[in-house]
Amino acid sequence: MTDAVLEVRDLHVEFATDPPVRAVRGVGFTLAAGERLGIVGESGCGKSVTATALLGLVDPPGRIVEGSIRVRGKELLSAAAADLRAIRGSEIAMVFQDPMSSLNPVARIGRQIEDVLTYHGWQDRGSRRRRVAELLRLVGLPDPDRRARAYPHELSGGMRQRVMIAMALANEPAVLVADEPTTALDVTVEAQILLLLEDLTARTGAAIVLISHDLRVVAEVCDRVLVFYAGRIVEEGSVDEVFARPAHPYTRALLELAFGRDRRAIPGAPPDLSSMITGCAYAPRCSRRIAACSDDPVLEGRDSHRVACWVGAVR
Amino acid sequence: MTVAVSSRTLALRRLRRNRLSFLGVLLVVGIVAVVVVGPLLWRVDPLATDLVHRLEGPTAAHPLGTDVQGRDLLARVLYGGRVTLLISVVSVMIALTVGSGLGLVSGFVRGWFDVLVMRIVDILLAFPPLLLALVIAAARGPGVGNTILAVSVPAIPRFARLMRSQSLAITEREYVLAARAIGLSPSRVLFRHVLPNGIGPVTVQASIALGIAVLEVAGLGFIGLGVQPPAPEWGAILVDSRTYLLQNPVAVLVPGAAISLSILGFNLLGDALGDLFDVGGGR
Ligand SMILES: Nc1ncnc2c1ncn2[C@@H]1O[C@H](COP(=O)(O)OP(=O)(O)O)[C@@H](O)[C@H]1O
Ligand code: SF4
Ligand SMILES: [Mg+2]
Repeated sequence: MTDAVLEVRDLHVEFATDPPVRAVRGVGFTLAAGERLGIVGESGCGKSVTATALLGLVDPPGRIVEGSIRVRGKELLSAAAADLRAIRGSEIAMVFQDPMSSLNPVARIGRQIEDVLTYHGWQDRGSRRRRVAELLRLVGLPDPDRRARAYPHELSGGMRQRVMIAMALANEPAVLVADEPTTALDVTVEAQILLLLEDLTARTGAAIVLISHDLRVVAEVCDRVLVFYAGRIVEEGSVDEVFARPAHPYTRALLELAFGRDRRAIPGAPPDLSSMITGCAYAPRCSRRIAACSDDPVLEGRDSHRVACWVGAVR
Repeated sequence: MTVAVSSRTLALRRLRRNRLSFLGVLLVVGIVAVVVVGPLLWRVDPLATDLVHRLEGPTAAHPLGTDVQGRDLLARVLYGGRVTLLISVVSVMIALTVGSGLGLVSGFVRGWFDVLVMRIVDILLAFPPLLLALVIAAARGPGVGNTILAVSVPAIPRFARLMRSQSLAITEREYVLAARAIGLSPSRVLFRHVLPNGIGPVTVQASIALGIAVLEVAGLGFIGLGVQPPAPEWGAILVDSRTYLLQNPVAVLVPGAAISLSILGFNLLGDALGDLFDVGGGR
């Protein structure tokens, strides 16, 4: 694929804790320019670790033990520190879950947005200021001059998340990674922020990786979806196909949880990632388990829909 | 701005409610004012000797009397305050800069540098600061420079410890990750994010350290290892006057009280600052 802005191959992330935790176990996917990719899955299945890995931000004790991440063809995992910094915030940017804690509490909003510009080559102060005002208007914060002088604690959660989005999109990156960007917000604010993300990424042409444990959010925003379980992709495909004809028992359970009538939680819990997982990781919770499930299922199907399950094949 | 203003008024209210904190601020501001303004109003040379009027009790010309060389004690106490406080402030600033700097970097880079710095800090912390100051002063001899050295070195480890734990904690905050995610270099993260967010408690420690510094500067002056006569310094004045306690008790009481009240003031101010940072909660 020539217009791929992000290519992840066989990503493995391990935390050198005692015992070591293999949080991501062979994730691979490709993101086309302007595409909207959702990542769903229960909490603890490696979504955030994957997100931070996409910016080369996995910190000790965590380590990317294997794999490749290319942003517009540039390999991150072998990049020099300075090159990596040049890519972050300009080619790939991130919006975090909790806007209350992701802004520096002692720096003014305008200054923090301006920083992103300064560090990526905006020499002229006047044009930086104008860009900051433009960005604040773009993310729907009226009276940008006053807002720019505000400190984070003077803004609501929704406003802060707008500021985070302004920072992330300041240099019009090719990829925007949003890790549960609305989980910490009220439902009404959530809808506004999602609309804003959709609108702005469409305008700037940024592809988006939207991580959420809420399938309804992904259904609303994304074109394609990856279903994560225990550090792996168990099902992937277009949102239309996957949500209409889920093949993996886990995806079905998640959809039932999100859209079903009785919305019962999936019995059991995800596996302990510190122990060796052999065979299908979902097997202990799966009602359709067969003998073959003690072998590793591989992701199979067609481009628009793939599943890793011995029973639920793509139709 | 409304939130900022209301949190500020809240802090002021709390300050007033806490009478001791208020007293601390009052003492520090008062003593600094007297020492700064005093010599401008009482324009008597603290070094001028007058052997005719030696060892006089309080008179109109010499409200605190004169010392054994006939020098005006009021002028000496006022100038002495400048000397004692200035040496204390400079020493604490040095300790703060060196200690917080080391701690800031230690907590941020971790690894061998952190281990090394913290080992040295542990060793320094094993000695009581006053004892360490004494040892340094005894080894280096008296004088202003050596007094500063003797007072600042023992204060370094506490600043280093404090700033390191601040640095460790703040490095884990999400806004630091967010800053790195937009491409900030480590040094910029350190100075733009970690330092400004971690400095608060350091000011509390600085105030407490100032109290200790005054005690040490005066103490070294008292035992002859600090500032050398004829330069005025509170501890040195005290030891001079002590011999003539019965003839002129004011000459002992005033510098003694000045030392004690300064120490008390800085400690109470430290408590007050501590309260203030609790009010800031969200940081
Ligand atoms: N700093 C860390 N140290 C040790 N283990 C971690 C750390 N961060 C994440 N993990 C492990 O990685 C797993 C996946 O975490 P995460 O990606 O945050 O899940 P989520 O899908 O909810 O975002 C967790 O179950 C946890 O065991
Ligand atoms: S592979 Fe087997 S255990 Fe795993 S989800 Fe499919 S049916 Fe269930
Ligand atoms: Mg997460």
